Amino acid sequence: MRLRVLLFWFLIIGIGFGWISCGTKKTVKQAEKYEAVGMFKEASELYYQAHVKKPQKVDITIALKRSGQIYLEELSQNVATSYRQGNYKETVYQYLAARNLITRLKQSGVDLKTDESMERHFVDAKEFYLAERYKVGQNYIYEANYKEAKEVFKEIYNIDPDYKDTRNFLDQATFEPVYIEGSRLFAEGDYIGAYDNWEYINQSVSTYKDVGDRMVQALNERYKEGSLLLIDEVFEDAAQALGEVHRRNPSFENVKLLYTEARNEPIYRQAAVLMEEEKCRTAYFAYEQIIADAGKYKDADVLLKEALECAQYPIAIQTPVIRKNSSQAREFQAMLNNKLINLKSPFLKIYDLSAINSRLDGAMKSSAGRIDAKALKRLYETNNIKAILYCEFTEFEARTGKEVKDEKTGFERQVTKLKTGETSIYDRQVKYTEISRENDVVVTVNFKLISTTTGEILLSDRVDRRENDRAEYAHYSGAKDKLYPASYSNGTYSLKESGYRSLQRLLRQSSEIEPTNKLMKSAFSGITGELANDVNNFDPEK
Amino acid sequence: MKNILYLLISVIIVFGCSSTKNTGNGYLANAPDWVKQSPTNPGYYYGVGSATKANTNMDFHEKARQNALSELAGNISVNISASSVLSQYEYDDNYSEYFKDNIKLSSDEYLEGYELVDSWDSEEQYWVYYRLSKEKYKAVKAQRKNDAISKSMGNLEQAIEFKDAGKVKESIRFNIKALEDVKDFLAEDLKVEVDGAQQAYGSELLSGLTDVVQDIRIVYPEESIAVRRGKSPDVNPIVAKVVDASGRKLSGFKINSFLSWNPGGSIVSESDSKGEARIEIGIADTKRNEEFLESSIDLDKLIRESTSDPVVRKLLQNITTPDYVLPINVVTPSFFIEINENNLGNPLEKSILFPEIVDLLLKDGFTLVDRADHADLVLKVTAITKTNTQRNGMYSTTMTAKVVVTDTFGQQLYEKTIDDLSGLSDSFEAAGLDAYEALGNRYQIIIYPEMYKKLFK
Repeated sequence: MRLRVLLFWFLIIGIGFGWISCGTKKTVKQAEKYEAVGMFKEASELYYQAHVKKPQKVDITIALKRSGQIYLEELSQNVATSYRQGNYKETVYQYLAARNLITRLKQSGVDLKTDESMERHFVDAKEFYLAERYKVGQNYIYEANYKEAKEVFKEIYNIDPDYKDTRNFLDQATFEPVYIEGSRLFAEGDYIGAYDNWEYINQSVSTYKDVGDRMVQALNERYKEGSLLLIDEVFEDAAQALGEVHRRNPSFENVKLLYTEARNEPIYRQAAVLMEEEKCRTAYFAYEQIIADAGKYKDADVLLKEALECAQYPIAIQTPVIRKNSSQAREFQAMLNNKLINLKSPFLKIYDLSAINSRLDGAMKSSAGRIDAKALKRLYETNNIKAILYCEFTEFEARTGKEVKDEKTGFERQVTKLKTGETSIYDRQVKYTEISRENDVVVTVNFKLISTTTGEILLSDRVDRRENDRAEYAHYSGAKDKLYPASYSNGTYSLKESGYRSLQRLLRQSSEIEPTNKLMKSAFSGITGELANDVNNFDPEK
Repeated sequence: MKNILYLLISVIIVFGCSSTKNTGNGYLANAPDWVKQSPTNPGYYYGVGSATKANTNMDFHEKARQNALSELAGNISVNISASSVLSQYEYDDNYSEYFKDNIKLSSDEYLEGYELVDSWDSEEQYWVYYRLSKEKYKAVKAQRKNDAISKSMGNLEQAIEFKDAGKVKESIRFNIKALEDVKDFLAEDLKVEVDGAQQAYGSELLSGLTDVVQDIRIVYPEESIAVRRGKSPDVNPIVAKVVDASGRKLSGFKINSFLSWNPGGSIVSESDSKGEARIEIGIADTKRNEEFLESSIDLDKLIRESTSDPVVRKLLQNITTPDYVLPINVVTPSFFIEINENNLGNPLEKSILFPEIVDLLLKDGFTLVDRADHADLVLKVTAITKTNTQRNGMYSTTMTAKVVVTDTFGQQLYEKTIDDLSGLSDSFEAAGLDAYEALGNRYQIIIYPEMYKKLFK
């Protein structure tokens, strides 16, 4: 097994190595073809690629040096020829190609023999060529043709970055159109667009003309627009304008304050209206949003407390009745209380009805939830309880199942190795038992949330849960691992090899089973969780 | 079985492709001695050259021959004589090296008398061996030099005749031809006998040519001209005359000119049969008051037309032609500024716009006058503010403004109305002043550049 893994990895590495090796060989062959027809530029490029992949191959290095040298001589000849013809541009670019070749090969450890006259031709041609291009570039600048000017000065810069005033002209050609575009946007009233253009220049050349001042002016114009919108109470647009300024410079004038106001004032006003409409819970959320955004805004913190107080929703839970199961009813109620409290709703307050009005609790118990409107109103007036949660168990069953035993016939197999080397098998017919048992719980609760002020049913639902557990196992007093099931046919039992595994599994199975009280707890937990969520999600203002 | 198969595949992949063909050359074993080692014989210059048989752009025989001759030429030292024209005119080292490079490039002429000694082929390369007797080289060179001087003197004679006849262009051409004739010997002491006295011929040629070129003059019709900003000269084009030292008109000379406000712009003109060249001047797009037109004879073109030899061309690069400058006085109009600033119905005690407007005009070289009837242009700004709204201690105003420029005849040249500005501050009055600040910014960024463009571009 280990050998196979090793060979597998050897194969993978081999494929990788082989791929590089084959690729290099192909490249070298192509290079040789180019070299054979005198295409030394292409040949040297391919030898170079092969050399990079396999720098240790001496043959490739020699071939690279040979073809590279010939290509360099060709370039050198081109430099001399173009210079003699007065074609200075060609002289410059042929020289640059030669220099690039020399540098690239030198970095790979291959030195080429250079012709000194090539450098002299370049220096001379460069002077002529750059002088001519420089004039062309200057003329483009004069004509405000910045795109072409940029190309020209970029070219000069790449050949000789220190040539005359190239750096400044390149900056001018690059930034002047952006500067002009900024002015155009400013004229159109797109102050942020103008700012962004000038900012772009400022990031590269902060001293470019008056971009610094212009940025301030553009931001100030937008700030004023936002402020005027705020004065006119067009809050959304004001927030948009002031937000744009704030994002670019948070400390500009008092933009932070105004932006906060533009964002929060409409919410603050809306919250006040909600409070008047006694939609305190919605108002509470609005104030909460303001405080989360602004930290402190006007008296929002005080109003938040007022809204919370107003939005409080005290609920009394009527003691549920489960026929002859009062302890489980208490357990259910305790679980429901816990679930509601754990939701940590700022609005819900949970009371036990039996603790604050045992008479009403008792009356509701005995009247199966029928409502005495006057008593409910009194509960509101006396205890400020806004609703009663009434739970009725319409189904409550817990069945503890009995053991069901089934005696089965099987075979115990005995295998013996004889002295002769043969194997003897003896299957002895035996009896074993298959046992099963099942516990089952079913609970259904109808609940209602009843308004104490109107008697209105605010919320009602039916929640049910079924929980069960089953144990299935086998028992055999003999050698369990040698036990096989049997099949019965024509009055005789015969060993059934195919059933061996499932029988062994049954023999290993536990006889343990969840008791019904545990199943009941699980059912209660599911029901109270769902019920608590329903109550919590109930918004009396909707 | 499976394992063996894995192993077999791996080995094939690893080693199957890894061997590459020998790309080197081991061919010198059977080569003659002159291939393996440079020949030595003090009586000769040697050159051994080789070329791969691969098809280059050039035939490999020719390539090998060139390489051999190049080596042969490399063995002949070129010395710059102290009394040669190259030394006397103080050309830099770069030129001397350049001269040496180029003189050897014309190998066939330069190495007249070389002979093929041997050649050898390998499978991939061709080798060739040349030599040149030092004795023979010296004799051939002396003969070539005499012939060259003789030919050159004939051309020089022609040049002088043309000069005397006032045909300067032809004179220059023949002078250059004379120089071209002796170009291979410029590094040497070129002495000729004139009227029984020895003269340095190279220097004579060059100084003669320089004199002729520098005697060409460009004469403008005026000593200076005046142009109004944003306009062309009243008389346009300017007619300049091209003459020699004796004032004789010269025709067919290309003139390159440029205006100082656009140094990259080239104005090309040519002297006609009357020796007149017409130089077209564009509008004075400048903010300076003193500018100029600069013209010079396009000697470069003349040289290019006269010789294709790079050595001669480079030699002549040092001859400069004078630049002729015509001063241009750019007449900048004067402004009278009239400003009416009214804040919430009250005139401003101290103008906000005036300093901004004055600053921009002065920066651009305009003059200001204090009377409208003394000004070329009148710039009038009228602005008023009105209260707008207020809230939470913030007050806003609106502004209406108008900028008008008129000329001396009262004709309106520029007009701009602004009605979308507002001010913001902690009182209406301060908000009004803030609106004026905004107008100042608007004037600087938009109005003034727009006005300038309309009036002066």
